Amino acid sequence: MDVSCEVGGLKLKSPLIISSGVWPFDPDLWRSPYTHGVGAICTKGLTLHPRDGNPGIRIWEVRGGLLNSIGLENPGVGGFVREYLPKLKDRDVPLIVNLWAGSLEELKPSMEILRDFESDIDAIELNVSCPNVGEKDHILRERLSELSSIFSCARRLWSGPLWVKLSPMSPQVISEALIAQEEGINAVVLANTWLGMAIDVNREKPVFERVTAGLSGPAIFPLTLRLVWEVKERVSIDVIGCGGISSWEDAVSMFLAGASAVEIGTITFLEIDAPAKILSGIGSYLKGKGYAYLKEIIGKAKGGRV
Amino acid sequence: MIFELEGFVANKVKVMEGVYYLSIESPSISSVAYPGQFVLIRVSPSLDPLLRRPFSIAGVKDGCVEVLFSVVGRGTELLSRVKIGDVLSLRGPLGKGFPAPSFELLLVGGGMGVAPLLFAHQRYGGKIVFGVKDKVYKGLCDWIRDNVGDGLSLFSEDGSIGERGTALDGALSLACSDAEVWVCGPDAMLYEAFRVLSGKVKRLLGSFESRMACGIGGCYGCSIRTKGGMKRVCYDGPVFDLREVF
Ligand SMILES: Cc1cc2nc3c(=O)[nH]c(=O)nc-3n(C[C@H](O)[C@H](O)[C@H](O)COP(=O)(O)OP(=O)(O)OC[C@H]3O[C@@H](n4cnc5c(N)ncnc54)[C@H](O)[C@@H]3O)c2cc1C
Ligand SMILES: Cc1cc2nc3c(=O)[nH]c(=O)nc-3n(C[C@H](O)[C@H](O)[C@H](O)COP(=O)(O)O)c2cc1C
Ligand code: FES
Repeated sequence: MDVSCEVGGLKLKSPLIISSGVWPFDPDLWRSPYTHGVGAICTKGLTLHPRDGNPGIRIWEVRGGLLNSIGLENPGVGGFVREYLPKLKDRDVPLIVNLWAGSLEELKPSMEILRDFESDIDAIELNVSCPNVGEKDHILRERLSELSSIFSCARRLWSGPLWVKLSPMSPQVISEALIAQEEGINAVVLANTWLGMAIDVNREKPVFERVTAGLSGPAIFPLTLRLVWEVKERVSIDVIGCGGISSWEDAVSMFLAGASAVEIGTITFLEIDAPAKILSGIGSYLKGKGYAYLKEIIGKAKGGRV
Repeated sequence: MIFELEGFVANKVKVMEGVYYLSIESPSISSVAYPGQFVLIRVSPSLDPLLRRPFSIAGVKDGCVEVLFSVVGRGTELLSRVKIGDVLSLRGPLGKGFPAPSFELLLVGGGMGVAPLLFAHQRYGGKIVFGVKDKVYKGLCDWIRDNVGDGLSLFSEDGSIGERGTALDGALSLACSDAEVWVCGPDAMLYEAFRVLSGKVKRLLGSFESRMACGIGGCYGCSIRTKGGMKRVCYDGPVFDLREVF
């Protein structure tokens, strides 16, 4: 059974990528046995300057999901390449830098720092979608032209695999994915967390200081699956499904809907070996159905390989 | 090395209404764990609840990890229903616990904060000062006395168990300039300990709690602000020098 995959300019041993914001920089955890079944790992979202993240409660469990308001606590791009990247040289899996690309002004210097370490970084995933940091209100058309400049600037500065992670909250996800394709991005990741909120009934107040927070976990899976289906209908670049995947059935559904790989996050909090379990389920499924390669089922629910 | 393994429940004791002791078989975790570290326990085999729950390691014995917990919500309610022989999944040992003591050790616990101190006492000895509100906690106090033996001082706010006062009142009367004090309890108690003890003892450490998702330093959900910047309770802690935090 061949469960390897080619996605967004990378060849991976497994189509299961650990999504941004869940896996520590601790080098021990980037090696076997923790990475059994893992195709690649995305770093915590990096910003140009270090960030402390949001005050107050940051994690709140809800039925079937998790709300988070971390606010991108991270050591900054410079801190990452100085302190952490050297220690991750001996890793067993590819490293994908998740880079906060909120504005062109912030993106350019960040990319210039990363460019000096191109041989140590396997791909960059541009995060244009974190719901937990301040974002300007955009007129939709303006947003598209801003994204277009962000993508083209990143493309100019980074010759390796370049992905973008879009927000599921945008009313124009398809247009954003098409712009990514036009600008030469290798893959779109669909998607990030969905905006939600919680109220603490004891305190009679919203749980989070920013009121809203990002919802992840099993609850969002059908929403994300629909996005992958709709976007894959319109773009020819690779689509990576991300949101709520918790079982091999979820992963296989994503492949059948047209995803070339999937990212998993929240489920690793419950099961650190979720990738190994899901990968073994995918293997058994392919075998049971008589497929030799994972790629045979990509887009199958749409009536063939897409 | 962090393990995530299943082990059967070797022993369960209802210490008092709403407080339980569990001993869970886990040779890998119990052989490397040290006081102040904790485990994340999966409280249900399903995806609900979605997060594991953090509990201090209250001791290790015969290849088992021991925890002492109180029922406060859905997760701990589920955990209180496990039976001897059931299988539980543990992630651990997690966090940086207490560094081996260099001075005379005084362990100060309030409420369930006593759990990690029991392990500390098992490993390093020293005196324990344990404080509760009133006689509702008699079952817990009796159980702790049975487990700790000598070196335990009990305090209750209304004087119904042991001496009248808080655990910190007890600590103040016992602390000397050659002592090192480890405090576990609610945030307010840690702050109060900092206020009354920081100038009086050689070293003052406290164990902090925060909501946790990963327990391994990945999600930044448990971060707290310290004088040295943001720190993750699960990874940089849960034990911090109180003078570094307050
Ligand atoms: C390092 C550490 C060690 C701990 N050791 C012990 C112990 O030895 N004995 C004991 O009785 N309790 C201990 N706690 C507290 C214990 O984890 C919580 O009481 C428990 O998670 C509550 O879960 P619940 O589902 O019953 O409550 P709910 O209110 O339903 O919990 C919902 C969510 O909030 C989180 N949560 C709620 N309260 C806390 C809290 N105080 N700390 C962290 N997360 C919380 C839960 O993990 C869960 O994600 C410890 C907490 C930490 C961080
Ligand atoms: C605690 C937490 C922190 C996250 N941090 C980031 C981040 O820094 N950058 C990012 O692009 N996505 C971040 N995410 C989103 C995840 O990468 C993922 O897109 C989302 O959680 C949906 O997938 P899941 O349901 O499998 O977790 C975070 C998610 C969680 C739960
Ligand atoms: S619980 Fe995830 S970083 Fe501490």
